[in-house]
Amino acid sequence: MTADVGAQLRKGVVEYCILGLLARQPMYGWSLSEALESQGMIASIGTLYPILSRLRTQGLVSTYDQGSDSGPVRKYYRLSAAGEQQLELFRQQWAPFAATVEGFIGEDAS
Amino acid sequence: MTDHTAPQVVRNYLAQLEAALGGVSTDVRDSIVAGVAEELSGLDAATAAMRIETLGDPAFIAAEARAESPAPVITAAAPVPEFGMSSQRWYIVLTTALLEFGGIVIPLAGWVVGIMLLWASPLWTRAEKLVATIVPPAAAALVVVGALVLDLASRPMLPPAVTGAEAINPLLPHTLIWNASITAPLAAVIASIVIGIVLSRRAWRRTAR
Repeated sequence: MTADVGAQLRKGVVEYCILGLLARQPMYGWSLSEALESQGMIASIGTLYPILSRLRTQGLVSTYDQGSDSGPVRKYYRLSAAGEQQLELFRQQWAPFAATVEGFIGEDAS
Repeated sequence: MTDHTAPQVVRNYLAQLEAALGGVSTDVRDSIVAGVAEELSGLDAATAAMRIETLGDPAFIAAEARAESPAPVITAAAPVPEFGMSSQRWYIVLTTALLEFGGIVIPLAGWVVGIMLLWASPLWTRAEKLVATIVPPAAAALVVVGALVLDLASRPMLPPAVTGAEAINPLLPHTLIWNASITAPLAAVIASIVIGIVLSRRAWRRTAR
């Protein structure tokens, strides 16, 4: 209970944040890491790759290699159909869940 | 997996990362190393060093990966490197100071203790340890050999009676060899100081963050 509250909250939602990012466009590991780190959602790539591995095992994301004219061949992650369904399910639950929590912890406006 | 054409800083970092990730599942370890390798691929040493600064300490990344992996697969290979006493900053200062100045304060013995501390720490690579151990004595030896060769070359081919040159007193040391007895230790000390500075900077970078 006294553990880092932010860490507990991040742990619960970071997988869905990754699915949300990948729903916009396929991304490679480093770009995902930068996007999540800049918002304080992960501490390092050490946090990211185990989650990506788990999402891939669950069939929620898939990977493919893509080269570029100026850079190296990169492994891109993209959302699978199952991943889209999972994300949609989370979206439906998130808003009422957040409202419920707010109802419990929000300061009385009266 | 290691790209042998990559800058040294990249190869060192990837090797440290791989070693630090011992005990993490193979799939995750390979993904992390491959992800970092592809990002550092094609960069020059300076740019790669900046990216590596952003990435942070391999031990920290490995700790995060372990915390996030619910069921790590313990593999026999690649044990977790020891990041204990011999990786702490006071240890770096003591070791490199002994390498640089130990041989001056306590001739030879001070430097030897520095070399022993160097080999006892995982912070430096085997190649770095070999260079630090071999180069200073080699620099001194090179000076002595050079002096001997020059001394022999400067001796007259014919006896003084034939050439008319002044006779050389064999009891007096030759100037070049005499000078070498001073410059050889000096060469070793200079080499040790340069190596100490380089090793110190590398160790600080590796323990950063």
